[in-house]
Amino acid sequence: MPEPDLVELFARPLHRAGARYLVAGSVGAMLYSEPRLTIDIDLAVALDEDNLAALPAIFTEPDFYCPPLTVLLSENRRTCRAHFNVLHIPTGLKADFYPSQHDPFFGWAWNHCQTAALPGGDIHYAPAEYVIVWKTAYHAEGGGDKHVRDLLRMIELSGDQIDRETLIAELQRRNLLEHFRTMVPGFV
Amino acid sequence: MTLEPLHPIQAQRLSTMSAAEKWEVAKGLLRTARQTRRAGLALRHPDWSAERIEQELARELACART
Repeated sequence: MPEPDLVELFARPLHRAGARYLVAGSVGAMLYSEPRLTIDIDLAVALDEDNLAALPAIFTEPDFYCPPLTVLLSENRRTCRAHFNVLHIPTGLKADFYPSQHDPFFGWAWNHCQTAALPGGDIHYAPAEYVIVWKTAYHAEGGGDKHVRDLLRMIELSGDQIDRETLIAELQRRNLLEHFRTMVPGFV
Repeated sequence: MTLEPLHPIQAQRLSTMSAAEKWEVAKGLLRTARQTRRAGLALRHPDWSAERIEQELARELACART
């Protein structure tokens, strides 16, 4: 079994297909903070029905589990909290796909994405503000020390590059500003 | 402490994976972390040399967490 790599397994095929995707979550946070291990990668995506129909041919059996097209289409139509998984069977590694084409903040994030030059080529990472807002949302729902530590390290190491006005506005729009302030006191 | 639920396919695979296979997965995850941080440092410090980035990456990995 070759050494698996979350970005190469899941984000690279999307990039090659020309899909609109952003690496977010903990792998996205790493771009702005510190290295840490995780067995999942979060991918915010804006895919049309042609993109979706191509996914089973991109993440092919038997190495991958990709949900049936009916599930992909159904999730993609949801205007809130759309989600599906793709798994790499040999390693058990997982990608959480979050269809986000209905979210105006995704549009902002896409326009402000960080394109990183990796050995296999460019990969689009979500801007720090996007990673922060979603980590705040997940923490508000389910807690988790890892989200707090991810945010604290992002602020410590990249806080000077964060657009605070945008961050505050988006946190306010989602009623998350006060929660964020309990996670990261004193930043905004 | 609350664990995030595993997808059933993940749980099935992880429960049958050999130690050698888990080690290969772990090495791959470390590569993901190294490459992402290397790219992050290059974006943050475009004036840094490759050697300087590797030095900083090594320092960060010495303090890394799960």
